Amino acid sequence: MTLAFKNNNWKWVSLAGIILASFIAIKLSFIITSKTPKRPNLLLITLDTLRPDHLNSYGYERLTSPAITKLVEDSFIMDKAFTVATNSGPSHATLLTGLYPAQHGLQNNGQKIKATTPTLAEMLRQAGYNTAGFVGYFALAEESGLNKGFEEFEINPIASHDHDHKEPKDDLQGFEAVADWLKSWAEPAEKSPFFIWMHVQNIHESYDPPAPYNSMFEKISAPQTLAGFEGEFDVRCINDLAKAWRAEILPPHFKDEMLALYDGEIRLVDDQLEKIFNGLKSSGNYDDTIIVLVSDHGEVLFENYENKFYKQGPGHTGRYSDASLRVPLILKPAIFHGFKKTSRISQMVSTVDLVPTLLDLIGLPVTKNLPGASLVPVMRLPEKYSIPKNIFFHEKPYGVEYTGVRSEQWKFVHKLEKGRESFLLIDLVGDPKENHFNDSPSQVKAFKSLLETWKKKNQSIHEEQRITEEMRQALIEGGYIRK
Amino acid sequence: MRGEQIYPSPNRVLITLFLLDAGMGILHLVFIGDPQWGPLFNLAHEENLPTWYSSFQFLLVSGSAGYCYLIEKKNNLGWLVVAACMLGLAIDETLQIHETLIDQIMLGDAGENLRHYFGATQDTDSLLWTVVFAPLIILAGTGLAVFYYSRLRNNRLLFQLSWLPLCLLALSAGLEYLEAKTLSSFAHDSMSRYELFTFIEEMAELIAASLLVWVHCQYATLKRVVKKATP
Repeated sequence: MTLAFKNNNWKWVSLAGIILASFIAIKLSFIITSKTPKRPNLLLITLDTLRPDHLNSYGYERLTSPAITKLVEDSFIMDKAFTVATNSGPSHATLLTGLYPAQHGLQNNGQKIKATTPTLAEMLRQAGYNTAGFVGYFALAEESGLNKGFEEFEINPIASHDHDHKEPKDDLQGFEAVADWLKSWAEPAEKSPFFIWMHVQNIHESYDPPAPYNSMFEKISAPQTLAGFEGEFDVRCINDLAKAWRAEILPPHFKDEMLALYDGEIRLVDDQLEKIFNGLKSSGNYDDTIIVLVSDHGEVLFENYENKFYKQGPGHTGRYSDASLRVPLILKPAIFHGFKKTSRISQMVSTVDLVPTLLDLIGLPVTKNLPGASLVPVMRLPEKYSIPKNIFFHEKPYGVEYTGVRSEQWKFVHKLEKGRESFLLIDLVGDPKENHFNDSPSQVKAFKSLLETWKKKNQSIHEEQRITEEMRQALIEGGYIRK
Repeated sequence: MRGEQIYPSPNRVLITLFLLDAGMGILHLVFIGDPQWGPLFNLAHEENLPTWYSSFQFLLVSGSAGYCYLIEKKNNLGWLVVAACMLGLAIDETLQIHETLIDQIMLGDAGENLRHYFGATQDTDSLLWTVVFAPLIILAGTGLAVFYYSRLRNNRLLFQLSWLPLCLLALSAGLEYLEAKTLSSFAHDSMSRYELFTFIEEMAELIAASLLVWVHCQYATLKRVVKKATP
């Protein structure tokens, strides 16, 4: 074959094509044959009941969290992260499976994830990781199935519910167990990467940190009588607080004291986390470790909602205001991930996105059944990528089914109780304190339809479960369910 | 005329193919949400009507290039190469050879490195083939561009219309990479963007093949006329 070129331009075109193809081939061969990225360690810290707006890195003024602030210097911080459930069990199951509660099956505290539900720990164990779980409460213990994939699994309950008979060390067992495990892991020269899930129960009600945290931010009143209150009132007891607050007989200074106790718990946790972070640094493993700090839900404190759809605080379960739904989410990648800089991500993200994000960072396949999305592209190019604008939540606390969706402007919560439907629509822009029902029929219709579609797409794969009597008693004692 | 072979008009062929292309697009859009019929007409899926139609189109491109080879008496090996390439594409459309190849490549460390570099996830491995095979695609594209120039430059319209399908195929390859990036990033909201990209990409591919059939047929017709007029 001969090609009759009229001029030399076409030779240059051919040459350019060949050079470009060669250049790309060489570049690809470098990429393909480069050393496979090493696997990072993963430390997943779930801080039960922590509101982001009580952390300094989220703008809180009282010095609750200097160690977390330092961690944020190396991390991505999600300004608008939301949980999929306000109950610890369903929410944690999502954090550990990447599935919605209806999919993993744990829709209420005391239930168990489906035996066939894959967990992050199982995936990482299969990939050669050493896996260990440390939890602080029964609802997350073996009975929940959340121990799946963990070679070692410990429960270290805290003593906060027993106000008068506890030693400070009782509240620190979980931290010490993690620190000890890390020390023994770091000893051998040849080792597999680790995945530790550390659940921290301290911040959860009742707010009653040991000294010096109990008086770090405010002097706390001794138990005393209170006008209109039956028996002795103890600010450290959540039941007393809730009763007095709901009966509108709580003097304002007790609110300040309770917030000081809540903040004291946060500071205690922060100080303990600092020791763990320092331990990782001194053993030379900090840079190779992904650290995730997230809470399972927030906490309604003394917010007062005029709509009577939201339950009053203090508490979180079955409460769908942003105080309860919004969570801190801080993610420190490993050095070798090569992020040029870390930043604040201001777009809305869901805790259902965490597992795909971690799999992506670790370099493991993101399985197709995961409804969330990896946030890694947003972390790399936050100005270029946008994130899904709707955040969904769903659970069945106390046998009531709540399904909801939150966008930047709207929040729609659907409630199904004993066959009776009710709903709440809030215009978050016009009514940021979430006080009033919005009666826009078109929005209600649109959100109902959206939730139906979402439910069909993420339909239940699990039969409703009954909890054991033993678990029921433990949950009642912990204040998680009613008698 | 009696005794004279009847050839289909290139323009009629093009109109027929364009109508079929449009039909594929319409069927895709009409049935996209239908769980029963959607998969049969979905442009993004494999082993369905659009895939078989696309395969048939590339067979036509290959056949028409082969016909050009037969019409030309000299300097005609290039047409055979084009015919072979297009036949390869037709087979690939149906047997999904490039998808199988890329799946194999992405299985090991190479796959992890590529995903890591391009910020893609394993879900979208099959869409990264345009990146992995980019050198081959560029070489083939350059070769086709130069070949069409060498054959068609004397007819300005034909020459320009031979490059348009090459540009559409390049767009299609680029969009496939964008689809991988889109899907890797956001599974929820990105679906609409992904579906839009897929629609444009597949339609570009169908239109490109139709145009190539027309270019080949038109070229063969012109050559026949010239041959007939040459004593």
